[in-house]
Amino acid sequence: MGLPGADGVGDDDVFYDTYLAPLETRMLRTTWRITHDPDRARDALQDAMARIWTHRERVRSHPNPAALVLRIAIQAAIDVRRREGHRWRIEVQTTPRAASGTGDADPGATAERREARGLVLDAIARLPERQATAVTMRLMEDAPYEAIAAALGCAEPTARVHVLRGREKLKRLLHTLAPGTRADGGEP
Amino acid sequence: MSGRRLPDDEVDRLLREALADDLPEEVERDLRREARLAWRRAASEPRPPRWRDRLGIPAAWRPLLPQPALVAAALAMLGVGAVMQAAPPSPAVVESFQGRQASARVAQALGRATAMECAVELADKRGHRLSYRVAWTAPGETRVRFDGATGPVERVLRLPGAGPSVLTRPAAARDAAAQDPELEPARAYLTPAALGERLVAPWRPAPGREGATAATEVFFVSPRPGQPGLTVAIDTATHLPLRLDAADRDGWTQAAVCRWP
Repeated sequence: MGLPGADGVGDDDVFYDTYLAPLETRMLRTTWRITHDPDRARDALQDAMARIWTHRERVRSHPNPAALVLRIAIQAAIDVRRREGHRWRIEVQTTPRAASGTGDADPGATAERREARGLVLDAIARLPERQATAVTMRLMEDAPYEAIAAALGCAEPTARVHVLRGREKLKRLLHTLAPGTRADGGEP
Repeated sequence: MSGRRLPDDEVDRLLREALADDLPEEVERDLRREARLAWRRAASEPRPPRWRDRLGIPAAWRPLLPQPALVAAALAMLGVGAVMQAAPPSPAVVESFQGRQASARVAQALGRATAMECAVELADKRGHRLSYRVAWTAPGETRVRFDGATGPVERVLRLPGAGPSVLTRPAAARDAAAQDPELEPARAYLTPAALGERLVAPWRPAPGREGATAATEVFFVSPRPGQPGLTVAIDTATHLPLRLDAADRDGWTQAAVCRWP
């Protein structure tokens, strides 16, 4: 099949229109859902674009380019989260942002939800890269295991194992958020 | 890490909440504009050439042979490897290995020796005979008895520093015995170190040679195959040489029988 732009690397817009424009919305939403911050989402998007540009030939020849692009976007967002995790947490706790767009009437509940979200995203960022990507693709995008396997470059059973192990690790990392263990500090 | 963990439905709920798809419209518009700009920025940044570009390898690399051919070649190589692994080793390799092993063991055993007695007999093709009795004791005393021009002679040589190591022995001590021409024929047997020096050459097993028994192994020691050398029978238990036989081009034959008290 003759793909547009396959004969050279100068036709950047053609590549964008062919491979990235159809995924643009998913990429934006993916980076947002992991960062939940306009500035960090923009950083993650820039990182993702730079990585895709570097690996554009791989994207072209990949059996599932959409899955690969999505994986790159997720990894870029998780990397931003990892890179700035500590600084980010402090900022979120001290300056509640209006960017979540939920318009919550109860500031206390909003702050608590934001804190919980930060802990969950930090827990995802603490997973090994492949597990984090697999879990995020599965739970956030409802991606089939076949697509996860194609994105990670592994067999489908291996992708299932990555999701399973990532979820198990998240269960351990997040046990403090269970009802009854946050407010009173005791076991559920 | 503790063993406490969340139930499945709870972790799913937390993840759904944390990864909520709540991108505000104005942020989406901003990000959408940013996406294409970021792509153009990435495309316009100069990048160092990659190793593949330097080597002129095309981006869409494809193997020269189809996959089934590569699989068949890999299987064939595995088969050849298995056959080579199962096949008996080459006799030349085995001989070389056995020779090296014996040579190293004898050198070690000579280094540990504390006393040596050698009876050395030399004869030329006309029937002239020379006979030496050598007794060496550590650290450096050698008694040599032989038939001199005027009758039986006994010499006591003190070779200070003539330890068992050929490498650490001073050159002066090494040459002390050579100064007496009468001792020259037996020079290689005056100390274990001198004997060790005599045996520095490639060893090859010679199982059919005279002297091979259940308790001894026989080796042929020669600088090159086909050249005159030395046949050595060694004790399989102590790895010390028991008998040495040699013949040179001038017709001299030499036989030494050693005891290691």
